[in-house]
Order: sequence, then C-alpha cells, then structure tokens
Amino acid sequence: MAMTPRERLLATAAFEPPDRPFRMETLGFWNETFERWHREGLPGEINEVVSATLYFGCDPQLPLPIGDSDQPGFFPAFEDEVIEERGEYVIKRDVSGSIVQVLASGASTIPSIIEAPVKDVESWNRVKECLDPSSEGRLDQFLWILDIPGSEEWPMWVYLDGLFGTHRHLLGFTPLMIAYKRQPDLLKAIARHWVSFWRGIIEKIAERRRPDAIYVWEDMCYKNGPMIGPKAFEEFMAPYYRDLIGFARDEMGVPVVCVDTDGDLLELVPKFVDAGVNMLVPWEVQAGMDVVAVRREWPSEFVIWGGIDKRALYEDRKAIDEEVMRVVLPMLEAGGYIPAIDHAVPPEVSLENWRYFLELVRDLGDKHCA
Amino acid sequence: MKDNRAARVAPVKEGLMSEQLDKLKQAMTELDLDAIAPLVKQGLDEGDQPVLLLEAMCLGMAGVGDLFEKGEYYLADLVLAGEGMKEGLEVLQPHLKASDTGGKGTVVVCTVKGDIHDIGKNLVGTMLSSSGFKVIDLGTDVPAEEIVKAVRDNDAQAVGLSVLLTSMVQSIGDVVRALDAAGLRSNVKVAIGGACTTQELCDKMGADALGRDAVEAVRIFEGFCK
Repeated sequence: MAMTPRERLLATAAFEPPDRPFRMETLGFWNETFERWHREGLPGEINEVVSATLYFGCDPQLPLPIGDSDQPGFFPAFEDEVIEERGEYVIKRDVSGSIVQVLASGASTIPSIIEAPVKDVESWNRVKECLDPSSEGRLDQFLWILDIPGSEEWPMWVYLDGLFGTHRHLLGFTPLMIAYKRQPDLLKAIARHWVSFWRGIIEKIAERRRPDAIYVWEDMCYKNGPMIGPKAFEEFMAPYYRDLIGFARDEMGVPVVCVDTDGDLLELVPKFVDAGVNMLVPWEVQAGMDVVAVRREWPSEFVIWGGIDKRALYEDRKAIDEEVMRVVLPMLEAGGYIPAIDHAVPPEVSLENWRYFLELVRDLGDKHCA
Repeated sequence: MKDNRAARVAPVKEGLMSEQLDKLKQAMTELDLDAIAPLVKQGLDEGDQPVLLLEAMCLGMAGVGDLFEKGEYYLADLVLAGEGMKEGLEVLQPHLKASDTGGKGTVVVCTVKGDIHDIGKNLVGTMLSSSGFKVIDLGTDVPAEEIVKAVRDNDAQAVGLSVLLTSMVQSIGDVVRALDAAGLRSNVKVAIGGACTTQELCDKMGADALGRDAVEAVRIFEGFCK
C-alpha cells in the first residue's frame, strides 16, 4: 500500500523501508534556472520552489518558513527598502535589518553586508523585541497552509534560522568572527534567546499540529571545512542545540531535526550527532563530500539528503548516469537516504537534463523499493 | 636598565628576536587581539624599528597560516588574524616607509565581474599583505578592463581572482583574454580561488594556478613573484 508523503519521510528518518524514496531531489532552483527553463519550454507560472517541486512531482510538504536564510524570524520583519541606487548596484536594508549592497540586475549572488543590525548588547536588546514568539499575529501568515485539504498527509517542516545563521544575520560575517573572541557574552545571550524563541514557536505551532521536522539553516561550512572549529561549536552552539532539540524531540515529539550546513561539514558531523541532529543536507561534492563513504562511517546515525554532484547535470546523459549510479544505488541500499543533488539547481542545468535526472533517480528508487 | 637596542635593529629571524618583538609575534599567532596594538605602540615608544615590528607581526601571521594548514585554526581564526594585523598596522603605518612593505611583489586582487562576494578575496588580500606583497585590492564585481588597467598602472606581477558562483566563471576567461590582448599576459600570472573553482576550471580558463585557501594563495604568489 502506498505511503503518504508524511509516512514516507518519517519511515526514511527511522531507517525503515519506505514504499519508495522520498521525492525532493533539490534544495531549490536559482532564478536564472527558471529563466533558462522558461526559454526551454517550462510553463511561465512555474517560477518558484513550491510550484516547481509540485510540477516536477516531488512529494508535497508543508513548509513553515518562519526563519531562514533571509532572516532570523523577525516579526515584524524589517521592510525591504532601497536606500540608494548606485548604477549597477542597489544599497538597501533587507528583511534581516542589514544594510547590504546587491546587484541592481537582481542576479543571484550573496549580498555584500555593509552594516548589520547588532553591534552590542544595547542594539541586541532593541532587535530582540522582534523575536518574541508570543507576538500577536506572528504565525497567522504561516499556519493557513494547515487548512489545505489533505495536508495532514504531508510532512510539516518548521524552518528556522540556525544559531550560527542567526548570529551571522545579526552581526554580519566578519564582526561575528571577531565577536567569538571579543564579545562571547553577547553571542551567548543571543544563543539563550534563540533557544527560548524557537521553543516558544514550536510549542505554539504544536498547539495546531505537531511538526514532523525542523529544518535548521546554518550554511556554516564552506569548501575547505567549517567556518568555526569544533571547540567554538562546543562553546557557542552545542549547549543551545541540545536544549532546543531536547525540547522539540522529548517534549513536543518532533522526530526529525535537519541541518543545512553547505560545504565540507565532516569535522562537525560528530558534534551535530551528539547534539541530537538526525538529518544533514546537502553534502556538496565540490567541497569534497562523498556520501557513500560518509554512510560507511555513519551507518544509521542520521539521514543523508543530497550528495549527488549537480555539476554532472551540466553535461550529458552518460555523466548523469555515472553520478546517479555512483551515489543512489549504494545509498538506497544502506537506507536513511533522500536522493537529491547537492544544492539548488543552477542555470547550467538544462530542463531536458533535469527531467532525465528525475526520471532516472525515481526509476531506480521505485525498482529498489519494489 | 639594560639597553637592548642592538637586538632591536638586528634582522628579525626566528630565535633572534628581542623579547618585545617575540611577544608581538606570539600575540599575532595566538590571536591575542587586545595585545597587538598596545605591543606595537610599546615597541615604537621603546625605539623598535617600525620595519622590525612589521616583520614580527608578519612572522606571527605566518604562524597563523601554519596552524590553519595543520587544521588547528579555522576560517574564523584567519579573520581574527586579519583584524589583529589591521589594528597593529593602524598604529604602525604612520611610521613605515614605502620601501618597508610590498617587497615580494605586486598583486592585483578582486572578485570577478558579476559577483559581489568578498570574504575570500579579503582574506587573500590580508594574507598577501602580511606576507610582504603590495596588494592592489580592486574590490568586487570588477570588469576585465579595470584589472588590466590596474596591472599596467601598478606594474603588477600577478592577479588573484575570486569567484563564488559557477555562473560567473566565464569572467575568469575574460580577464585572461583581456591581459593577453593588452600584451601583458606573458609577464602576469593569474591565480583563481573560490567555492566553485577546480583545477579543471583553472586549466579551461587559461589561469596559472588554483588556490585552495588564503594560506595556499601566499605560496602560489611567492612562486609567481620569485
């Protein structure tokens, strides 16, 4: 009998055999990818991640993006406001309260942060007021999706800005690196509030329906490893992770805690596992990640989501075949795997190759589970 | 009180430093940020040659690089070291002569056209400056013609290009071709680095070297500017 998407995800998380692999073969799509695919025949109304994943037959899900890669969960969020247009650039205040420089063309890149909202305890105390789980109306913009007919069969994800992610959003990258040395008390005050804020949010959501999974955006690793070492992780992150995950899992019954690290996360894997994380994504091959080897070392401690080299999809069917065979078969055999490329789909991937990839991965998955 | 001025004007080499210079080097390597600027000031007050104080900081920075390569330091520590260097130089700079810095060669660094990401580029610039290079930092989203002009105006021996996104990699080829068209390519080496860079890309774009991180970048440019 076919499982519901919710049952399928939870079976995968428990390392039990699903009826077929959970279908969410990417973390998203670049805007430029949609532009290319529209030229290649994708209907124009398919232009963002939700419509695209449904269009491509991914398993439906209920995402509650309360905090994410854009902002820490502010309510009200800062207004996205243009401060100055400088030729090819726009200086603006973004929704996280940072003053950033972006490209006027809207092309995908990481914004250059000019000034972040928190510098010291005083500025933190001001910003903190926007991170109150009990703010009137805070969750209304998200919870309506629970009323979609049939949505009880879909896994519900609470998206939250991770602790490194929140620190970075609040202070900016370089000031954060310096704050680990010079403002440890500020970082720990933010961390304590991060725990109580997200506990409050999860508790409130659970009053409507128990979340199935928490998705934690950290992006704290890059090509050569984590941006902070295990020692700093243990001091500035692990205690707070344990506190929040313990609450979510033991008191709220949330079975899945997934962390999006990007990059080479190997050195931090034991730390995440120890803190209670049981799903990790996206395992970028260009950062040297080999999920087959990782699975040998960590047979059942966490679900692996991703790990297929997106760059293989730039090429031809042979390259796609080779990469899918390298990763998907052994990973499905080992269990606890969600087949996916190792980040969002970049514009180098043709619509034809994307369709071929999906067909191949799904066919393999169906045959494996049969 | 014993006058150790003689030690203070001797070339700074490992094991031959005065206690004060050694403290400064150690503060850099151990990322004792709050000690660096005061130690520089104290050294100046006590008559240390500015160039020797600079050299001590650079040796300390080299120690940071060693620890990064051994896996004992992380990206955060490189940023901290850069901050320490900056704070030390703020005190020291007015006392330095132009000839005290940049002796190893001149390098133009920037993030390529279409990309405004600057973390990696900034780290490479800091590590190169700390290692004795004159660094011309053109910033981010820099077109090829601006790079060519900077190379020509500064008589640079090398260019370091940072690129984060795969969609921007063509900009590397644009720079290589522009240097070629300007007749500069044979005298100017090009190194690339960043999240999407690989040796294959380096070869395809006609660059000369791929730098895995800011510490390796120093070795690459030292090789280029021999």
